[in-house]
Order: sequence, then structure tokens, then C-alpha cells
Amino acid sequence: METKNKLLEVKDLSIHYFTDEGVVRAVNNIDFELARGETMGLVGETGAGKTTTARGIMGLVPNPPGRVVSGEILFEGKDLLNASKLQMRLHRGKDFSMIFQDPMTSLNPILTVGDQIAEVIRLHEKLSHKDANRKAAEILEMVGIPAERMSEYPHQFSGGMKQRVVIAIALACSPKLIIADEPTTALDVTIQAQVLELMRDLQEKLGTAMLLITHDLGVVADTCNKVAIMYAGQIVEMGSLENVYDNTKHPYTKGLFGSLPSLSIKSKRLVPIDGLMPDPVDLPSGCPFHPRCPDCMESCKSRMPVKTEVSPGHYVRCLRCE
Amino acid sequence: MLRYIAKRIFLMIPVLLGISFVIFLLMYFTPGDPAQMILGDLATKEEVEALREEMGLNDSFFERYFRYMGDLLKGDLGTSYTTKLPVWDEISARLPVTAKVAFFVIVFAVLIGVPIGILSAVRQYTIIDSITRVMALLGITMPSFWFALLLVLLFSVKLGWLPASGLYGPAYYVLPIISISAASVAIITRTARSSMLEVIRQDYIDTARAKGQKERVVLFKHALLNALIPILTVVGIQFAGSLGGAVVNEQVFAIPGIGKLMVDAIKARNYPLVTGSVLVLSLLQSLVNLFIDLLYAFVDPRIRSQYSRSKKKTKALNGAVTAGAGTAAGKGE
Amino acid sequence: MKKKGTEQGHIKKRSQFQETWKRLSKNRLAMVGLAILAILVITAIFADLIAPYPYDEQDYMATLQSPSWEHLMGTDEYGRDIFSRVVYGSRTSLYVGFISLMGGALIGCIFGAIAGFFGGKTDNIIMRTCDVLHGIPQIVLAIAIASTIGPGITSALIAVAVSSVPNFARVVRAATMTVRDQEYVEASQSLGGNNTHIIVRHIFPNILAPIIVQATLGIGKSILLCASLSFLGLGVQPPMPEWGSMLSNARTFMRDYSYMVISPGIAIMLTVLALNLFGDGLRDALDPKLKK
Repeated sequence: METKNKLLEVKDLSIHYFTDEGVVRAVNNIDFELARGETMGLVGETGAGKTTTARGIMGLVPNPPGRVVSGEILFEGKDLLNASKLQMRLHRGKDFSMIFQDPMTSLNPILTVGDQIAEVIRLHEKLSHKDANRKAAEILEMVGIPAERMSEYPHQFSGGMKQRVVIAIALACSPKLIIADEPTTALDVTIQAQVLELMRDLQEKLGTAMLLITHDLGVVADTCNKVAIMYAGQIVEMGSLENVYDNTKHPYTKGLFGSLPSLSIKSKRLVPIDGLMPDPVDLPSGCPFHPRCPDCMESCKSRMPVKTEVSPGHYVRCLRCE
Repeated sequence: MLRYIAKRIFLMIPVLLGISFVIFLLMYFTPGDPAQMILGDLATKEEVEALREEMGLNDSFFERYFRYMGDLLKGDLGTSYTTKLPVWDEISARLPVTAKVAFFVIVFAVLIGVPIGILSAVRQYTIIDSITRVMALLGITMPSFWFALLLVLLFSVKLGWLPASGLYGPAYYVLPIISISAASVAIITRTARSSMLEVIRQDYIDTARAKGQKERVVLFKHALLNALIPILTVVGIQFAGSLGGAVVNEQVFAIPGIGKLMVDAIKARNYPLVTGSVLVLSLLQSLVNLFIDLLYAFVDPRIRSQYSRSKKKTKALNGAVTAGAGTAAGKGE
Repeated sequence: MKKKGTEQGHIKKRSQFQETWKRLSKNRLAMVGLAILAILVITAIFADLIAPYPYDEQDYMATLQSPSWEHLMGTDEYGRDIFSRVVYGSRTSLYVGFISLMGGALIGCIFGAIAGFFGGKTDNIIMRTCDVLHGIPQIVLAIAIASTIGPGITSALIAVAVSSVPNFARVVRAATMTVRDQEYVEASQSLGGNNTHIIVRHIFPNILAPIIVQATLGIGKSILLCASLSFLGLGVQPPMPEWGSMLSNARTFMRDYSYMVISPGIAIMLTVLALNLFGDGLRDALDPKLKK
């Protein structure tokens, strides 16, 4: 990949939460990169550190207790971690924006949806009140909501409609990158498909890159070019869709596919992964997945695997692949 | 909206009728003979009996109650036993004093309590937060009349800076307002803090930050307006509290307000004056509650839009608001 | 089979209690509150042993004396030992606070549960009555009741109890309404359980937490209210020792004998503070969701 095309580069990023109960190691030494217009899926169970990664990029890790302890986040070659508060504020909403998990709670209940969309436009574009409102109306139409509904309040919209409004806010200033944190988890299945389709269309139209956080491998297969699998704050496997889906290497990824019901492959029963996600305050020694790993070796218990490129662009963190 | 206000005022009538009934009942069962009190110990039995008949004291409870209510509709609250003046004249001379004090108290409490509560929430776990929480706890636990005595001791007796009794100028208001408002300041601070803490954890606050909005605007536009709703509830409750506080502390500062009037009237068994005072104080509180409810609608579009919808929904919502007020009150105190 | 079921229920209840206690014991402020409360209760019970003088013993040779080793908190205008009166006062305050609260809580709970459980007209009548009682500022209502019954400890008790009824009724009603629609209540109804049985066996245990919290915080308010009434001269009457009426009395001598207004006030504050600390801790312990 050419440097010029690189939009986002995350290098060796670690984010920890310092709480009374101990240090929660939410994100540990992750690396990934995203080109312009590309879509990457970030997959993992609840508590794997996906949302923290997203907040880290946005500069919205709640501090205290959270802190970025190491790493670089390069956006168009500039390190966001060294950016001033003002610079970050100018980036947010304009160059990258975020769609939060639950549309029910991500809109301010006491402001009209029009005001909430116009707010981000007025922050980043020098437009009059009137022009900003006009632009907000256009964007609302773009996500499939009639412009007349501008002056309505969030409680007058359904969940799917609210998520469209949230998407409208995120896309209002045509950002280069959108981070979508489980944008469809809180929605009904039929609405999920609509919202995903809408996001994909708009992304193509605007040429926006997207980091799609989800725990749904099906959604990733439909939407993404690349995928990274997270476990206990680490990326355990990463590569193109083909790499990861057809040439699965890491036992955890295999486990994720095994616990997925499938219509095409006839299996007698689902194969769940044994055990639970480890406590991020007290991660196991060696490979964090070893207590649950079906292929665990003696060395897994003591040595942390390093990132290994098994084929071009396909990275795995597993001792069996080193 | 106008229709809603009219409806709310209409709904106040049965509550006020109920209050008048309860108070009248209490006064009916109060021992002692008003006629005897008026005439003094030297009066003969016949004189007392004649006066009882004249005052209608020998009629049945309901006769007396309905007569009282009939007079009330004509704006007549009866006649004070001791001064022989109309009760309304006595009350209307004192009411502005108490209302003024209670008003200043609540304004002071909001001006101090809300900003400190917000600051404490925004700076959670810092020294400022800890100090605020300790002060708030002290404010809630300290009896207001005792605080008043301590203030008088320090600022009037020891330092001689401020007057301790009467109400003859701005300086006279300082100690009463501080002492009465201590509890309200504390409770409003606590509510503002907890409500703000609740709100700044909400996703829409992060949405606002993700837009690139300035932290100041995030806090004051997005968070504060939402946090205001529980704060309003508590301000309403605290107004009632400040009326009560005024009633007690008027004794300490010898303020010629309705509280002192009422306590003196009770000691003198001057029932018409007691009944009138309680009614007027309750009416004042009901009006404030109504005002607060209307303010909700102003702040919260969810409530506003319910007003314009069907009757049934308004009813359901009223229930929700009362329940919300209940929990908020529980939290605040 | 049946025995096993109740045993399990018993174990579960105990562990719930233990859970709460475990969380509560970690809360340092709540434990401070509990310690102060324990000291107060012990003081009230053993007042005869702790107080150096009887609360009404007058000594005309030693009136209005400043605090000394002989009289830790000084003496009043009749030469009564203020420390002894403060010690005995804890009896009065805890007694009034506790009894009036129990009364108010009992009545409030019964009406609140009935209103919440049956809904409809019953609910309407009860809640409108509460609205009426709520429409009168609490201290004003208490003053009115106290004046009807005549000043004294009984009137303070009743006044404080009655004026705390609406609060309890509201809390309990709201809690009952949420519990009423839960499946286990419907299950019991479908099995033909009668209403009293359902309220007592199923609803009450599940709304206990908010009642306990309201009660702990309520005692503090009751004690404050009682002190205010006595301060106005409408509650507990001298010579019975009560902190509020001691302050009322001290006010006359405040200019020259300021020590008289200090100790009874501190006593009230400490008591209410302890109840508040403990009540807040209890609320957090019973509802861990609220804390974080």
C-alpha cells in the first residue's frame, strides 16, 4: 500500500483504564491501517476492546480513568495523540466522525433533529443559520427522512429512523473516516439490513473510509474489505476477507465461525468456544487465549505470540503460526 | 398549552378544598373555648353562652364548615378573635414578608446550588467535589433554626456586623436568607451534581463531542438543559421547604411574617387566623408546584408534545411525572 | 420436596442479606454513620448510668455556669446539667423519631400498597388524599396537628407521623406498581392466591429495599421536624429533656451564655448526620446499579 493512500495508521496502541480495582488493560499493542475509501470490520466479543479502540481514535477515551499508554494514531500522516485539544476538536465531525451503539440514547432528547444535524455543520463550515439548516435538510433527505421532519424531536422517531439521523450527523460534513460502533445491534433485523445498506450506499457515494465495529461476522462479510479479529485487547488475526474467512488461522477466529449457525454447511450442532473472556484486570500469562484454546501447547502458557504475516497482508498472533 | 394550564388550575380546586376541610377539622377538635378566650376568665357563663351562640360555635361541624366555605367564596376568611380585624387583612399584611423571604431564599439556593453542583459533577473525584459533598451533607443535617442561632451568635453578638432581629432593610435579610436556605442549597447542590453526573454519561454527550463541539458548549447546552428536569422538581419541593424554614426561623429573627403570625395565633387559640394562614400558605405552595410543572413543559419536548395529545396520554404522563418527582425527591433528601 | 424449596428460599434470602452487608461494610462513611448510631442508641438506653446528674435536678447554687469538669457542657438557668440533659435528650429524640416514623411508615405502606395494587378508584382516592396532605407544607401541617392535640410529646409523635405518611405512600405505591406487573405476581394470581396473600408474600418482600432506605433517611427528617416543633414550643415541653426545646430555651440566654446553644445543636446534627450517612450507604448497597 502506498503511503499516500493510507488514511489511518494505528501503531502499537495500548489504552488502559486505571481504576480502584486495578489496571484494566482494554487495548494492548494493536496495529492496523486503513486506506481511503476502505472498510474494515473490527470483530470481537463484548469487552474485547473494540469500543475503546474507537474512542482512542476519536480522542474520546474517558479520562480519568482511561489513558492511552503507548502507540501512535496517524491520520493522514499526523499523530492524533500529539494533537492539541483544539486540533482534535477541529478534526472531530469534519475529518472523522463516530456513530454510537444505541440510537435510542445517542440523540439529545431536548433538541430537534434538525438542530442536531445543523450543529455539526455550523461547527465546521462557515454557513449562516439558514444555509446550515438547508444543508441539514438535504442530508436528512439523503438518509431517507423527509425534510419536513427537521423540527421534530428524537422521541417522535422510531429506532431505525433515529439511527438514520445519527448517520446523517456523522456524514453531514463528508468526513474521510467514519467509525461505526455496532450501528445496528440495537435495531430489529429487518431495519438492520436497511441501515447497513444505507451506510454502504452513502459510503460509496462519498468515498468515506469506515471502521465498522461489530460482533456479527455476517455483517462484516456483507460490508467490509478487511477484517480484524480482537480478543482481550489484542488483534489476533487480521487480513482481507478472503484471508480471514477462507483461510482462517487463529483458533479463536475458527471458534467464532464454529459458533455461528449456518444454513449452507450442515453441521449437527454449534460449536461454542469454551470458557469466558478473561478479566482484563488480570489477563492470563502467555497468550491470553490459551485457557480457552483447543490447540493450546505448553509454550502458549508462558510466551506471548508475536504478530506473524502468514501470507501477504494476513497477520496472525498465534504460536502455532510463528 | 393554555387548555392544559386551565385544566391544572381546575384540578387544584379539589386539593385546596381538601386542605380547607382537613384544617377546619383539626381546628374543630382543638380543645378550648374561643368565646371564653375572647371574654376572659371574668365573664359569666351566660355571657360566654351568648357569645357562642352569636359566633355560631354551637352549630354542627358541617354547618360551620359550609358557612366558612361560603364566606371564603366571598373572599371572607373570618375575623381574628384577638384583634377583631378581618383575617385576610392580618394575613395580607404579613404574607408579602414571608413570600419575599422564601423567594429570596429559593433564588439564592438555586444561584449557589446549581453551579456548585455542576462544578462538583464535572470535577468528580477532585478536592472541589469532596468539599462540596461534605458541605452539602452538613447543610442537610443541620437544623435551620440552630444554624440561625449560630449565625446570630457570630455575626451579631460577637462581630456585630449584621442585625439579628426585625426586617427593616437589606442587611436584615442576610442572616435569615442564609440560615433558611442552607438546607435548600445543600439539596439542590446534591441533585444538580447527581443529575449532571447522570447526564454526562449519556451517549448524546459523546455524540456532541464527536461532532467537535467545544467542551463548554457540550456541558452547558447539551448536558445542563437535560439535567435541569430533576433539578426543577427539587426546586419546587425546596420552595415548600423554604416556606417551612421561614415559618420556623421567623421566630428566631422576630420577622413579622405569616409563620410568626400563625404560631402566635396557635398559642392564642385564634383559630380563624390559623386556618386562614395554613390555607394561604398551601395555596402559595400549590401555585409554585403548578409553575414548576409548566416549566417542565418548557424544557422537555417529550412532556410538551404529550400536552397536545389525547387526554389519556396526559393522564399517564402526569403519573410518570409524579413518580419521577417522587424518586428525585427521595434522592435529594 | 416442599421442605427443600423453603430451605432454598431461606438460603437465598440470607445470602442476599449477606451480599448487602458485604457491600455496606465496604462503605466507610456508612460504617461511621452506623458507629455513631450505635453510640447514640447505647447512650439512650443507658442514659441513667452515663448522665452524671438527673435531667431535672435543679441546683440554684450553680446556675448558668460555663462548661467545667463538674458540668461538661455547663448548666442552664435552673442549674440543670446540660450534659445530662443532652444525654437524656437522645432518648426523647430517638424515641420520637423512631416511633413516629414507624407509625407513618406503617400507615403509608398500607395505603401505598393498596393504591398501587388495586389501582383505579381506590388508587385515586388514596392518592388525592395524599395530595391534600402534601399540599400543606410539612412543618405547617405538623404545627396545625400539634396545636389541635395540645403541646407535648404525644402531639409531636402524631404530628410527625401523619406528615410523613404521604411520602411513604408515594414511594410504596410506585414500587408496588412496578412489582405488580411482574410475572411471579401474575403466576400467583393465576394459581388463585388471594390479594392479601399476594401483597404480603410476594409484593412486600420485593419492595422492602426502597422502604428501608426511605425509613432510614426518614428518621433523620422526623427528628429534625420534632426538634423544630419543640423549638417553636409546640412539641416536647420542659422539663422533659429535648434538644429542640433546649435550644429554644437557650435562645433567651444566648447573648451572654453562648455555650448553651452549642451542645444540643451538635447533638441533633450528629444524629441526623449518622442517619443520613447510613441511609445513603444502605441505598447504594441495596441497589448497586445506582452507585456506578
